Amino acid sequence: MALLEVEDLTVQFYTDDGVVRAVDGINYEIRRGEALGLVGESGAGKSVASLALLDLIRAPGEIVGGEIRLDGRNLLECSTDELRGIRGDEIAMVFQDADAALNPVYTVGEQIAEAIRVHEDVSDRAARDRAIDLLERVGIPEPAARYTDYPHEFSGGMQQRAVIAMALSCDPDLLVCDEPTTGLDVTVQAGILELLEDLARESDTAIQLVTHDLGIVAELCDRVLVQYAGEIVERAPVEDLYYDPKHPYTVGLLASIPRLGDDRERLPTVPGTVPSLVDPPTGCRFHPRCPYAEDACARRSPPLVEADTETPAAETAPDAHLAACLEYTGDLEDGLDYEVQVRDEPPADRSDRDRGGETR
Amino acid sequence: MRRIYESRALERADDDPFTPEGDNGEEPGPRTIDWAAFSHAFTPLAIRHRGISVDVSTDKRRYERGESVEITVEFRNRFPFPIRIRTESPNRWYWTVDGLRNASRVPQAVPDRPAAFSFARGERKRFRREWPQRIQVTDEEWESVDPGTYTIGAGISRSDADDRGLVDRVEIEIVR
Repeated sequence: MALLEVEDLTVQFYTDDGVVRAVDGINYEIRRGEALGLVGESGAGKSVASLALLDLIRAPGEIVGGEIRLDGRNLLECSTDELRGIRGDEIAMVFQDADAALNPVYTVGEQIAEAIRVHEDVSDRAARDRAIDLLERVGIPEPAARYTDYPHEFSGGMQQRAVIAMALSCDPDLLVCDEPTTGLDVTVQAGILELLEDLARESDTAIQLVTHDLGIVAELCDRVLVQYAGEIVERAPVEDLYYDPKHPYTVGLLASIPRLGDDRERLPTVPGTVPSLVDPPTGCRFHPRCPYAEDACARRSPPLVEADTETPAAETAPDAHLAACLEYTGDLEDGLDYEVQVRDEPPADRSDRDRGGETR
Repeated sequence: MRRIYESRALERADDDPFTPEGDNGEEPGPRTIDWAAFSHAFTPLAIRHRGISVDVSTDKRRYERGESVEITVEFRNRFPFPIRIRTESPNRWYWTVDGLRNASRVPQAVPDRPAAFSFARGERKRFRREWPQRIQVTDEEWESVDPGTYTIGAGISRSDADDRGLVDRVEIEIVR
């Protein structure tokens, strides 16, 4: 059994403008020790989907349907006290803005020790010692001395490490990282990623990594979900997604990653913006931005199916490559016409090294 | 774009960073008068409804087939004091095409519980919708409509909205 199973999860927000369905019937699972990436543009519903795991959606939002099962137990049926026990202990979260996640009037060490004391029956001394060990584990120099520092005395990268230490304090089964490296400079970003990578390798902790950076996903994750306008449009093992993307949106995202040695003046972009979730487009939600859209795309919402066999998502293995595009249900007349080129050598050798130049 | 963190939908309590904060921190100070609640308590029901006007308009009256219809819905509080109207759904207002809410035959999954539509004094709320001349017939299918005359409507989510003048309609024509 998978560690976490999310089934038909739907989250809505009620605003004066109408009902915003930020997450619309998504399904996925995470196995023990697995790192799963959730990627998509801003406004795709990634953060909402992650917050919903811990029932952290507040009015005017609510979870209106679905199930979230952790080890077979439906979290949406748990009492407030049960959820309090699960948060931080079994599922921990690393928020995007570490500065805001830390309380400015308590020392960093005390905040980590407090999380340990809340979930475990330990003495103050033992909690303090463990907090210092955790600070050391996440790479804070002189952890015993920094224990008594306040958050403002930490740099941005150190704050994020402290938040990760807090999240790791009770050895959670699942760590939900919501854009943990956004706003950090590249070297610090690399350090944080290395830390998460070590964690994923050494422990049995599963990671759900929410990001809009496909480069980070490539480095860290085993499988990827691509979310667009509240729906999952592609699900695949990480290598399959990069070498053989099936959904035109994923192709657009991959094309917009800057590469060393790329001599184009401008990066290609996915034209347009994420649609308003109050009034989403009819049919496939991506069709107004899709270069391969046909009339059928505006009239039919594509189901998520295995791209090669058209098997519905519910009947496939977790490692199957799924995409939600009419191309894979045989309803697209002209098909998808893009080429995937994999360049693994410097530009000088590029012409000889292209592989997988598959045309669709 | 506003992020979830800025939406006030998530705030963490001081004593437990993993728990959403209760509403206690949002209580107004003892000396502050909540004028919206004050007005709601003292304004008679009939007057409250008379204060709100509903206006629906489209960018054109005649459309080519397949052309998107831009719909603007405007609610206005005519009174110089706040008005709050009770609605029968958290989806405070609706728009229709020939009586079909959201141009769909599939009912929208919104919990059946009362909510409130609040207006500051003299406030206008203007919302836009785009109707691509398609009607949703099932969860996954939409059908294009034929040329003809269609009624675009909008109203506040109350069963007595028609009687209380809280709806408005406009006719458009779709030509070949």
